[in-house]
Amino acid sequence: MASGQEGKPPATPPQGKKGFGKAKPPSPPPPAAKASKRSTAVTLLALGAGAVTIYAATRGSSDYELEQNEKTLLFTNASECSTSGKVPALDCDTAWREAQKAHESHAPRFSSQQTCESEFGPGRCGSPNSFSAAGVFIPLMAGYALAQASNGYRAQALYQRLGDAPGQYRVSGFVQPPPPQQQQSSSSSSSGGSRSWSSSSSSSSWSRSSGPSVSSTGSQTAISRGGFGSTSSAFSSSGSRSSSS
Amino acid sequence: MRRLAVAPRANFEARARELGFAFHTIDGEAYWNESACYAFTLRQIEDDLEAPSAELHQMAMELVGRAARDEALLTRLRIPRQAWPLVADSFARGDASLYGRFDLSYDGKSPAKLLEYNADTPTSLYESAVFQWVWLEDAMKQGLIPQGADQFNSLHEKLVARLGEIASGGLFHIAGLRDNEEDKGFVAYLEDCARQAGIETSVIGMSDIGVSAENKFCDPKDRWIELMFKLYPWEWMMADEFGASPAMANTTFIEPAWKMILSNKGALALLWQMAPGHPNLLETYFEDDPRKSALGGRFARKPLLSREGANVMLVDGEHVAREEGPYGAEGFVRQALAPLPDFDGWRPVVGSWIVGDEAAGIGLREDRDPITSNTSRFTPHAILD
Repeated sequence: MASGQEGKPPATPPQGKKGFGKAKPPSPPPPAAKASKRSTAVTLLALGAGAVTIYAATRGSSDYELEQNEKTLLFTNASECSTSGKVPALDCDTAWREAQKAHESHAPRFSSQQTCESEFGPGRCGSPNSFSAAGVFIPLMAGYALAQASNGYRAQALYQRLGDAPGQYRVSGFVQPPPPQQQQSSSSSSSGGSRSWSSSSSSSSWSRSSGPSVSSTGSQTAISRGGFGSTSSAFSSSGSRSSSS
Repeated sequence: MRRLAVAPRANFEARARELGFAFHTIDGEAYWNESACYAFTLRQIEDDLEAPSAELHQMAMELVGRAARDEALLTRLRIPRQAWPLVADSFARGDASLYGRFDLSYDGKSPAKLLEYNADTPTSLYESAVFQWVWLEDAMKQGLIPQGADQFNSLHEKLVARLGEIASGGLFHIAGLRDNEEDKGFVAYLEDCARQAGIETSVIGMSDIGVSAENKFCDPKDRWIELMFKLYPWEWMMADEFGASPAMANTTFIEPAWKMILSNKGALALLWQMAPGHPNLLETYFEDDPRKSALGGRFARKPLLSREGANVMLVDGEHVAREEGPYGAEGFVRQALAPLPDFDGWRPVVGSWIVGDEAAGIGLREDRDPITSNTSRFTPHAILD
């Protein structure tokens, strides 16, 4: 538990902690009424047998290309994509740029190069290009994935953690987190447009094994534990009853 | 609103495995039921469930604004004195709510009636947001329900977006009890959503939490718990040893402490007092309020704090139905009876989700018993116009 105690300046993302756990001013109403009352896509990164995304069938259409796996193509870069002959070169380039954009905003973030490299390997981490944030480090892209959709290709950044087998890739999240440098305000983020998918990956978590937290003031020494949880047993002799409703 | 018999999907088992739905059968009984679905019209969804839920949420927030600093009301709700500063401060700071679930009695014709508000630790989130949603896609694809059907269910999108708004910028702790399959499934789903929002997470057990000499709660790796989702009721936290620790002020909790006002059945009486006659509210009084006699011999008696139907008593003239349980020491409310509608012997309760400040979808649980409990079956729904 050594790191984080050296009195370094807080290595928070530029957005700061202001918003951590606080209610935001009400978002503006969504731009237009959605045709559908349900989520456009549902993604699970680690919960089941592996990352999976399922798309909502478009209302009134017969487009049921739901599972992406069979049509997903993985490449390490755009030139490998275009020389493969499987995807038109123009689409390879467009998708590469799209994947890079997604990478800048969705890659897992770390407060130090060292923490990041402990998970992704030496020389496999850097700072995002899109903003000059001191103290924000993200893994490098190990490649990108393309999924054929009815209207072109969708792209996503791929990563490889330390110890991942060759050919085993991971994806990061898909919903745009608040942009780090802008005022967090107009995030009508829940409405459509966030169509996404993820390629297959193994099921371990991004951060479960991570060391020091993003918070530089995080390191503490517990002097007592176990002060929560005892009341639950008064309501549950077997321990099987849910605490929730 | 209809209850339709539907053939189960051929790939149900594979789907459950693929999507990590481990608790579809509880104690040998099916908890997930797709041999039927509830069908709504779009008008029923939008006018009778979505809009009223948003309005109920606004009323609930108004009630919190009135009660957060009102010692008489906090006393009325039996919220312990030690919790008062937590309630008032969390509301004044604007500590964010992630979600809540209204339980509604609705028959497709009359206005939906609020039975209770699960504002603190509502579950059935994963089955509502994910498994129900996938069922609709599969069922359309397999021709089990008409193509072009829809579902009132943008829960997944809204949860990921809301988490991104409130939990970005630090390590987000998610705490629950370790020994419950359903709770574990819930926590795993919430962590998945947080990661999709690009948030660094750590899952811990409630009993693993420690406190430091600097009065900060810390996780098993001695990291400060700055922001924590807890699948553990506030009133239990208040009864636990750490509930009185000064460290309580150094962690931001989701749900926040001001939810103690709303997760309490007394809120139903206070809401009625605030908006008597509101079409989506049931006439409700505290048990020690003489006005309760207005309800005559048809009422539900509910403990101020109770979960999954425990200790609820339904009185309909001479007919009494009762669910046993460990709650009720802190008092009761008496609520006008709104019997759940009967569809082929099944009585559904509509769980209507709020994420942030928006109505985000519904999930139905049905039971043969008039009191919905934690063994009721989750049954999917569809919008079929």
